[in-house]
Amino acid sequence: MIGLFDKMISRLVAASTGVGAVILILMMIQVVADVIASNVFHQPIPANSVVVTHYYMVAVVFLPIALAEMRDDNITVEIAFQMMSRKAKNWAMYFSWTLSLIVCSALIISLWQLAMKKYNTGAFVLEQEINLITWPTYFILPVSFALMALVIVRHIMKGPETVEAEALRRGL
Amino acid sequence: MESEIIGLISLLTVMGLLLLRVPIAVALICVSFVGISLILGTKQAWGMLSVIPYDFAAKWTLSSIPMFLLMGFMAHHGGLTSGLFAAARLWLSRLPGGLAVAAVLGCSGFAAVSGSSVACAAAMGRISVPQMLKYNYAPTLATGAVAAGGTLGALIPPSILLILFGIFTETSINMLFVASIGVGLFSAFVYVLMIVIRAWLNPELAPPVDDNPTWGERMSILTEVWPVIVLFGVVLGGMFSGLFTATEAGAVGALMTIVISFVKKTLTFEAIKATLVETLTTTASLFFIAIAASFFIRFLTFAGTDDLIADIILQLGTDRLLLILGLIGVYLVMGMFIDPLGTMLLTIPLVMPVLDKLDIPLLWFGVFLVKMLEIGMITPPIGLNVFVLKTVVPRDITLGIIFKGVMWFIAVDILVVFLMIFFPEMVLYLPSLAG
Repeated sequence: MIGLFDKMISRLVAASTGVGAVILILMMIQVVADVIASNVFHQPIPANSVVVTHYYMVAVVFLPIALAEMRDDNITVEIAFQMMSRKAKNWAMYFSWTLSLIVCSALIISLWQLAMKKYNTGAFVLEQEINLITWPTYFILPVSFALMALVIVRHIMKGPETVEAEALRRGL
Repeated sequence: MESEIIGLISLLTVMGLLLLRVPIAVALICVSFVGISLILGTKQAWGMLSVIPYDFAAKWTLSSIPMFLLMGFMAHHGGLTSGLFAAARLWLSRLPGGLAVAAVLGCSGFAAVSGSSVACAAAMGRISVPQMLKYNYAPTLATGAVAAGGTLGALIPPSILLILFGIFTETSINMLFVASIGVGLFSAFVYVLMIVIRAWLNPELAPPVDDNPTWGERMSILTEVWPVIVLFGVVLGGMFSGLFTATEAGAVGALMTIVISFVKKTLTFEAIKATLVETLTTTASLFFIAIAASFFIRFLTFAGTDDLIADIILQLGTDRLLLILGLIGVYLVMGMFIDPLGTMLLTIPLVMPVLDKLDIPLLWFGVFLVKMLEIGMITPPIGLNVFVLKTVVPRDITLGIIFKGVMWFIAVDILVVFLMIFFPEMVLYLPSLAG
């Protein structure tokens, strides 16, 4: 059961990171294309900055957040933790995961509510007489934090010692 | 309860949570949410929680961060930076302590394409420390030079820390880069000077290297480093001439590293995968903490805690020198325990009102702050650069040896900081020309 759940989470995280990677490359190509278009042809790409900020940035910032959690990349302070006994370390990790899960849940609910509000009003940005709908991008946030929450649940199920060993194996 | 008191209790709670290894971002969001609920009500707190993440991420100026990260990681994994030490070595090995000097200059070159000091220390450590040990260099000098050289990563542009400082304090990122490049290069220069003098006085530290490269060899090795020089020139030249914004410079630089790696035949699937994964996870964890800090800063402002702390500090004295000395103490202590980004984002809201009242230029403070944060990367007990270096050097080199090695570099760093304080033109002269 845990194995199946683990596999499912890993695939979802890989998929969201994969989409993030494609968007990162797209962002780079579009920004360079705009530099060339504006400087050589004096014809900038229409609404370039809106697409970069509202589409690409939102995806690149939030989609990999589950992978960062999976790799234990979120920045922590290790000084007291390193001096704790094994038992205290385990408690500290369970406490930290529970708090992370609460924060994630609050983020999922509030960001989902905002996304629904944007969907209902059909949120868009008007730039150079072009209407760019932005409401779909608001859904990236709650979905990304939901995936992060699933990764935390996976950590809790696997336990602190397995998760730490996984991080060590990756050389972190 | 008075809102300022709620703010102060919250600050202590954040510190407590951090000690329990709660991620900085989670601790900040949690405390800010509860704090704003107590002061303004749950509805307001809920509203801010839903609005801040999207609004923070969807900013043009911040889009330079993933682009510069992509450029730095690609330059590293594509092997663009691997020839830097070899080139510096061939040119400098006859100087006293020449290999250590080469390591510092290799780090400077790495810093010019990457904004991370940890990546710099790890990459250069792997290449240069074994070479120095082979020539019987003292392990303290060999490792100290690389750990300290790594700190140049955040001073020589592009620098992620300076971009975030610029965003949070509304200071021009271009100007911050212009201001920091002088201090970064000057720091490299005094490291080199210190190494040469020490090796000259005590040749046992760094026995002379007995190789005599021909001019042909010296010239041909330069073909290995041209990509870094071209990248640095295009990226900074484009930014400073006003041709590119920071994001555009980062994107052009990232594309160039991909093309150069392709030409060099180092653009393997593994290199691309490692580059993308590291860029994305670094971006995500960096923004998560910055979004949380943005929430926390609003909370402290609502609570009036920032003004309260500013008043307390100003009551202690309004002497600018005393304040700066106090801040040096605070940053040295915080740098021992908390990661540079965390330290910067936690202290900016508390320090800003004081800087404002004492007319301390933000441009100067940004560079001073990054220099202090980078010193924190090599001071015990938690010098991140030292820990990372430890993982890539031979096993018999202990943490103690590396920490002993960096002491000389910390001493000259402190000297540089004092020069910055007494001669602020060191930071402000170049921006005044550019402005």
